[in-house]
Amino acid sequence: MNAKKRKTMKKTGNYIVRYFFVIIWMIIALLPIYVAVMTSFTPFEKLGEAMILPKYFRWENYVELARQTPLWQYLAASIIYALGTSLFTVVIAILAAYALSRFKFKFKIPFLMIIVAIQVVPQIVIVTPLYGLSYSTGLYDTYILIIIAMVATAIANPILLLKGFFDSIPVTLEEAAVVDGCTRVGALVRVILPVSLPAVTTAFALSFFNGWDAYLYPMILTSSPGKVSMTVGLSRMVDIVTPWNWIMAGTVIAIIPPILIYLMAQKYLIGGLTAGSDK
Amino acid sequence: MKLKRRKGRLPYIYLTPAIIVMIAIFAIPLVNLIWYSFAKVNLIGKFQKWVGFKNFSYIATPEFMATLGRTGIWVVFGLLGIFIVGTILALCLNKPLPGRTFMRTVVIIPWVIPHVFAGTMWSWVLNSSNGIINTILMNLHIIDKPIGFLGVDLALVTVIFIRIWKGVPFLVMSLLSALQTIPTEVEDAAKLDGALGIKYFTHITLPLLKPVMVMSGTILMAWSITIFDLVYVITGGGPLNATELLSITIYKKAFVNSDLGGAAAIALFTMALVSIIAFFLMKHNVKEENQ
Repeated sequence: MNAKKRKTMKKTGNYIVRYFFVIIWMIIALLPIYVAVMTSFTPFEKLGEAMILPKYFRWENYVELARQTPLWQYLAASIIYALGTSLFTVVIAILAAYALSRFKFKFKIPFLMIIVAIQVVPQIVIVTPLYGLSYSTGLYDTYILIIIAMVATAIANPILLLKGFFDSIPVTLEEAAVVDGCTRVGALVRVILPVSLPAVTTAFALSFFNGWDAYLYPMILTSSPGKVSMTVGLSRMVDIVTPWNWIMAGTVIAIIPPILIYLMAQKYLIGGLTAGSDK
Repeated sequence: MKLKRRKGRLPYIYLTPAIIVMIAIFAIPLVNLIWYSFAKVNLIGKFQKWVGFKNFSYIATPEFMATLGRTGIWVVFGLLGIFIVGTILALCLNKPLPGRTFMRTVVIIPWVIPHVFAGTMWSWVLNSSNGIINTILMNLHIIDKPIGFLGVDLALVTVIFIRIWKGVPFLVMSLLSALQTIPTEVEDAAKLDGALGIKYFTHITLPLLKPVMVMSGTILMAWSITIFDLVYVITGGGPLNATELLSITIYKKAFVNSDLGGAAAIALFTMALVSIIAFFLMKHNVKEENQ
């Protein structure tokens, strides 16, 4: 009885310590988001109050932001960049990962090495020569240039992740399909992809985050108002001293899509990331 | 015979789109970067004349040494913070705990917040005139005038803190998936031997986590060296260069001073730095592939 009691006490102590650290981190993790949401509903004159509990609900901040700034344009550009990046990345990565997983060929190892290496090439290094190149190729100020640049930045992780996942699928599955008269691409689409849903969803989410995060490329490689993304638009608002309640309203709108995608894909994200790492 | 040849070409066909993207965005720009660094070029990349190593002279200046020093502090303390906080959190969340799924979801959230918006939110939270932290501390009479979190003295510390905030979840995810692979027998055996608590951690958990820590640490280091958006949005490299990191120097040289050659020289220097990291990553990954 005594031993049992001691064991329960130890378990409770263990729980308290763990909850303590996790809850402190959760507060730090959520603090800026909570403050942003609260501020986005606060009237301008009351910004100095810094209340801990919500007190105002001035949703007109959002309406004013949409009226006074090109908010819709920013959002549209961000959606084009993020969806463009994720769709292109997923298709290109599936094809590349399939080749790397199912074939033996001469340049396989060098190719894998390059994929691994490009993960660390900084955007700021690339954008400097890309600026001049975009002029000479006539691609300056186009959506496609930004999307392709973000695909290149985002692609390494999805390729490695999908390759790891494909490696774990038995080849016999496709062979059966090919015997049944499927082409290789047919087998990939009809047999491999349906069972790879977790990895494909993860690849999509990861590249969507990357596309939504795009800042340096749209800032430097575009100039027309329609191509200004939320990231670039909001950072300029900070520069020209826009009221903080408006900036926070914009920020809240801007962080909703990635958070939603994260929550929806979360089940797959954790499974998918794990699948990639324990190959 | 014909069939076999086609099969030999097939993987390259699948790889073509990836190769095209990588040549367009990495190979061609990097080649241009190399000749830029030995030339005088105007902002749209038009060659004017060769200048030899003149563009590299900035690398020897005390100003650039200071930037390198700051970048070093930023990388080292950022990684240190990420590893301490990340390891503690991963260990706390590894074993069953009521509410664990929910907590894990929340813990990861900073990872999905784009750098720019992490920047706008924290700038406001830590703002010296109306920011919530300063106002609360003043209302509680803990301080009598606002702390200048983004002033000359504290700006670097503040951006390092925000870097840690943004970087911790990545490590937590990596470590959690690695911890899941530790077989329960290992733990049971250790318990029988009486290896518990700190001893269990240093003798069992840490050695098992080491490969993942090395890999995640290497990637986080490469990203830290070259992060631009987070710091640029919060401080723009200021005040008085207090947060001017390597990436911001390249940006200013190229797009503020219109000195593309000079920017290319520093960019090349940066590439040399991250290449060492890339080389390490390649060696490790290919070793894994050959197993």
